[in-house]
Amino acid sequence: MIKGTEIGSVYQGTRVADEEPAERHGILLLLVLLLVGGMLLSLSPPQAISQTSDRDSKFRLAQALEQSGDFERAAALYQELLRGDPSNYVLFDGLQRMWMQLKRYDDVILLVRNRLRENPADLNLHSQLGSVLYRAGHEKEAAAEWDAAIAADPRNPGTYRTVAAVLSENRLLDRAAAVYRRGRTATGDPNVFTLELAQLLSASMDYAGATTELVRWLQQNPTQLPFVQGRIASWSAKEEARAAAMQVLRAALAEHEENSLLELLGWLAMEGKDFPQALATYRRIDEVSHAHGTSLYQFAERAFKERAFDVASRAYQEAIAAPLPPQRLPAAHYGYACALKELGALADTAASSVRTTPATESHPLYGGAIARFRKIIEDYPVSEFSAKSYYQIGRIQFEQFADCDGALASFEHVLTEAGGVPVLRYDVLLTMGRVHVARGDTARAVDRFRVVAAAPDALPDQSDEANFRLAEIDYFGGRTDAAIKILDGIAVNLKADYANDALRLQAFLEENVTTAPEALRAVARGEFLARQGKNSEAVAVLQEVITSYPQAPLVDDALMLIGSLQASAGLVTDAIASYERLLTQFKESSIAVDRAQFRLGELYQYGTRDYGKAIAAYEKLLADYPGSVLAAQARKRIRKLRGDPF
Amino acid sequence: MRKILWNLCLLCLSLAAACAQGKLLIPMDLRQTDHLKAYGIAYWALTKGMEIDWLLNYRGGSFMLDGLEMVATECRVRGVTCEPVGAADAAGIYADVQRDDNNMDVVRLEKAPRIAVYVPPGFKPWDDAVTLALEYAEIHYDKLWDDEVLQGRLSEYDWLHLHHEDFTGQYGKFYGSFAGAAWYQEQQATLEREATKLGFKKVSELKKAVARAIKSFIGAGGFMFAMCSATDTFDIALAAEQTDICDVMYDGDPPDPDAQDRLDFSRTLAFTNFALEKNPLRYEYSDIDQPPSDMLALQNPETDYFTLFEFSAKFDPVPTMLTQNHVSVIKAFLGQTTNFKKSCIKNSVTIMAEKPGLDQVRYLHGNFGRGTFTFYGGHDPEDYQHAVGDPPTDLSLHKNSPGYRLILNNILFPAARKKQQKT
Repeated sequence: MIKGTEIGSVYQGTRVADEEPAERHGILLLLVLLLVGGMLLSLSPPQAISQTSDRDSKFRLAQALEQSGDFERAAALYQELLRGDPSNYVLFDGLQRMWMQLKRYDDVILLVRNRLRENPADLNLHSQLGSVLYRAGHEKEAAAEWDAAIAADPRNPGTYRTVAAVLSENRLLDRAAAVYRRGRTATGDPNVFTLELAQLLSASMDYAGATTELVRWLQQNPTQLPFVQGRIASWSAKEEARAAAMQVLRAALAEHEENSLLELLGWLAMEGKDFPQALATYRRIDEVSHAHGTSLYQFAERAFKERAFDVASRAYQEAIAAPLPPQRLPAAHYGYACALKELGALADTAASSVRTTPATESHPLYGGAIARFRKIIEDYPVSEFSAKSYYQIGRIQFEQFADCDGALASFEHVLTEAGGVPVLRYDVLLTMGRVHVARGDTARAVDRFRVVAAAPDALPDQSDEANFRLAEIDYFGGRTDAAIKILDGIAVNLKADYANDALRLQAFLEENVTTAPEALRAVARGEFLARQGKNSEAVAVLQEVITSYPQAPLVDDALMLIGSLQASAGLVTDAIASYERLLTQFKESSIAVDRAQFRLGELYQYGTRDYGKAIAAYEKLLADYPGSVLAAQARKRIRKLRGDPF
Repeated sequence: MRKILWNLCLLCLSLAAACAQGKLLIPMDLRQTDHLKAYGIAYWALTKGMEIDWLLNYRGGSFMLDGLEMVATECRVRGVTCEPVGAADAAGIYADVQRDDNNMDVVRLEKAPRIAVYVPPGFKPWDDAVTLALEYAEIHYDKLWDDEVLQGRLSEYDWLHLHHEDFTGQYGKFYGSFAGAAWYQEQQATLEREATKLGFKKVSELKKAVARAIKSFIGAGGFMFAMCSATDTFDIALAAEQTDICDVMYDGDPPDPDAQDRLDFSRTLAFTNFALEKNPLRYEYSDIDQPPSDMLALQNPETDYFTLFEFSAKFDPVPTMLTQNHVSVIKAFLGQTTNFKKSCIKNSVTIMAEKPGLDQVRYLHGNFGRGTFTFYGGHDPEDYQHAVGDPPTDLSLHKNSPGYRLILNNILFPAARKKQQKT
């Protein structure tokens, strides 16, 4: 809306000059004004001044009435003023505005038509007349008026903008788009109105049309890819919109292949997580732009972060084969090896808590990744990537193959090659400590853990883990008091990642250290054997605990541990028997019964795949132990197994 | 014949088993672990052909069912507390509930209501408290939109819900804040297309037609439950039948200068003598909403509560059903329409909850024709100031929400068997 003072200035037909900063100019201006004022006073009769002042007051009153919503009285004043000054556009516009507010469409039509008689070529008036006719319900006449407006100056792009704007105001978006298209033909310029049409079409949810226009814009301005992406991003989250845009882009690329369009297509594919399509596009981008694998490598990094390991591995492979510039090759090789490792992990069923395949079957799954890491070590010795490769190999050897010696050798290499990076060094030391425990060499394990525990620059989580592992070693060695003392220090910080583990072990030790110290030592021995992968020996020790100390409070823990070891060894039937035994023999005394019942359900669900029994086991948990912390999980499992829609 | 006999034997056996097992009580007082899913169990039992007794005002409005093991198992699976009750104890509870000096009664629920929710295409359940509650309680519903309503599909349902809708055709009056937002423009374009497709020149005209169709559905015996802005805009649209209240940015032309005078309050369900908000940029429709939407920031969530009225269970069973709860003072929550100005409510309407000491009503109920309507102010009972783009409320964190319970009372209400009024 125009401000009153501005309208007032226009109405009076005067403009106030900018103030001159210099004093000299100020004096000069004052003299001129006095002179002009004197001349006006001598020439104008008093009535003229009075009339001007009266009209000015009326005009301001009309404005005030309009602002207060009294359109009737404002219209009457505008009409009166216009009668006295029929050529004044501001008054004409005011009256028209008021009558529109009052829905006096016939009066507005007459008013505009009268004015058109004086200015038959006025494009704005024709457009406005069309608008009034449309609102009055005379749609055919309105269309004719808009056509007439265009016909008055068909070669001028401004004509089409004016008419389309009026159509848009009336929410006739399709017709506005048609006007722009008509203008494009009439002006002979296929690139005019591109952004206007894109905006209009996307507002009408014609995403294919909007993309066509944005493609046209991008073809004219190839550097404006981010601008176009920004426009599309407002609706690219919608699948149907994205599909429409991609179809348009593919058609455009079939006609004329351009890098910017390929980039846009690749970006859209990534937005929709269509990684194979994105890979195909980035492959082409790499070719067209002679990027020598750089585009493919960048795409591979993004795909890896999105956990699309399969596509990422292919992209890395192709980038390497391109070949990439030498400085980027080690990172690409390393990325490729990591993608292979992740693919191996995804295919490894042994990761489940109930093992259904022998552990040796994991070996081929990681063979490719290990070979690639070794090749990096060979090709880029004593480098960041060789150290990281040793670390990855060591973790596979330890966590997947239980190859402690191999893992230790790999980790030693990491310490040699990346000793200057403390964070990585402490991670390696912690893992090495765990490997030594798995080998039964607690002395060396303690050495490793103590280094981390004492390191002032270790992260808090690294320190907590080191202390927790030291407490575990004390427990395994029967030094229960020492273990409890260390655990006290960790459990004090309840926000620490290891606080829960520390509290659980601490409670277990404190419960049994006085009531069943012998049995506790035997269970510790069993757990230590289990940590070394000696499952059958561990089970035998734990069975002995149950036989020898049937009254010890830790008997149910021993049975739970036996069941867990049997399950992870794939001995599902034995594990079921162990949990059943706990549930029958220790139903009244054990606090682990709900966990045993839940594990039973898991064994039926994932081990024997007897879903009926699994549901029954979970339902029994809900019926017998309604307050269990596992109840919510059991409910979810039942719903999933039953195939409930909710 | 043998098969029929066999089935009869089975039926007798199961009935005998049920009698022997007694009853199953789903308490709805503070002992209930998941009030919201308890309604889902009741609905589920109705879909299985079971009958339920709703014990009004007994332990927060508890449910009594036959003591079948399948019901107890389902309660456990869904995390709903249930208590087995022996036949003698059950008889004692019934006798207690039906005693004349107790403000309690039994309502028999017989048939799962067919539920429809009026929502636009592409709607997400977390935009609407009722669909959130339905989803959480596992109660089936269908979605309807303008074309289905105008095709007469409402007759296929017993219960209809409206939420954050704008029946005035002003697109929620979000123009002042969101005119440039892609979602707003898309919403406007979608609704305009829908209106054109269905033969209306303006969205406001389409919405008026939809409001009329919904009113006819109620008149024919339907149950309508509306929340937030669907409450006042529904009545405003009905009152504005003969006038144009939308400004130029909403329907392309200015509003009728005499729109206020041309409102016909005889057409509305609940509200009367309200004044329209004429400023098209203000996020408010009329003076029905209290406090106005732009004054909500002054509300203090810590002290914002509303109180449920207590009704006579034996003489006013309907409002009693609709106000069953384990608490009588409920944490309030804001919405585009939060409370209703008491002086704008018709005398024929029953007020069920209000903010004490203020001219603000939260929850009301009324009859129209052979059906009923219930209006509940606010947007999301567990999200005090739900804003556009806020994350959805996770109802598993609000299993005992009294605010959400009021919504679910409405869903079971159409399942009740009509009985003679005691006069």
